[in-house]
Amino acid sequence: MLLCCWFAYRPVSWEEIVTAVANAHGSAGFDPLDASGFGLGYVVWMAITFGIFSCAVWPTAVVRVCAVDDIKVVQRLYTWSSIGFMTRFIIPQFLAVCALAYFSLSEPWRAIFLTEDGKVVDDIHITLSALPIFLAQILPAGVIGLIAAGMLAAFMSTHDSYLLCWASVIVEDVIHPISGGKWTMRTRLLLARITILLIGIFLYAWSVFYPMSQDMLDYLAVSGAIYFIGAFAVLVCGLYWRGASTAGAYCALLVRLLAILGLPPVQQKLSLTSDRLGFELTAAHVGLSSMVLAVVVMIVVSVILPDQTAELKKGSTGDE
Amino acid sequence: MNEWAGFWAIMIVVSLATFAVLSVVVAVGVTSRSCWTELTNRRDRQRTMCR
Repeated sequence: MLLCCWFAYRPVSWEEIVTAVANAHGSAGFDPLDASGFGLGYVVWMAITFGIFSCAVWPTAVVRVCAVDDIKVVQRLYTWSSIGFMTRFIIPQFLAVCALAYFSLSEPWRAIFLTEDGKVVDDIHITLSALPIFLAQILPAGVIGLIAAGMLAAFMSTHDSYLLCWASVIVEDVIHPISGGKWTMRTRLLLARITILLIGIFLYAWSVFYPMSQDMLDYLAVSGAIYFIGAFAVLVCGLYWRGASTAGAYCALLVRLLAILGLPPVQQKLSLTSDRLGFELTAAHVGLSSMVLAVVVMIVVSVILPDQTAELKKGSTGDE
Repeated sequence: MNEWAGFWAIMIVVSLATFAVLSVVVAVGVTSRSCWTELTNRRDRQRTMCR
């Protein structure tokens, strides 16, 4: 990755990068709170999604927490890994601004990726292909193979962890308890393997047939939100509020499905266009409002429909 | 805009330096004898538990 950054920075200078970003995005290219760019809402949405949610309910982060001895180690783990997380976001952004500067300076590419006044073209299929094309242009033979092998290794490592994680969750926490919890380890292992295969087939079908029509990071945040919005409300209320009930948890888990409204194909199907709504419905709007709604629904439904065991305990305490 | 450009330059340098240091630390760490022994012991313990 470091080698890749060095090759990316070689054909451009820092001044050229700053000029290219200023031409393409203006002050919004530098200030994340600038309303003409990301704006406060988007920054809050990202901070919650990739900050709080990813620490609290993201399986791979939670597994790390489960593997340590005490709370102090967890705090230290998150403090130090925050620098690594920042690095994971900054380095791809650095590569992207190098690509922007490179394409703004090279005439054959400039016409493809930028408009006449230096803005980025408004076509997601073209912009998503910018970084791979940039890397193919700047990396010499040999290095490009190394980078591709590294990316493939990272891709495989990520996917095998996720496949194992979700197959285990589905078998151990959903299918096995529902079926009475009497299956042998051998049967559960077989079922986990079948689940991994089914998830793999689903991933392949989804990646082939789903029309990608938004930024990759937004898509990642929305698809993650479908899981973690409900999970977060259930986890926080379940841990810190005695009044949380099963009915409330089920309703909060249903509310999370609203997060799919952050996907442009779904918005188009439901005619949630800016002409009809009067404003542009972004992933940040959908994510933040679904998150608040999930917590509200969890609280309201828990109050209206408390668990019977909690009611009984309350009754027996009152009798005494 | 210049202040922001300076801020992002510092962030990029810090990130690259962190990535470089972490790569070296992890590479030295996982190839060290004590880490390798610990990993092997854990694997053996897990295999025994699975049996």
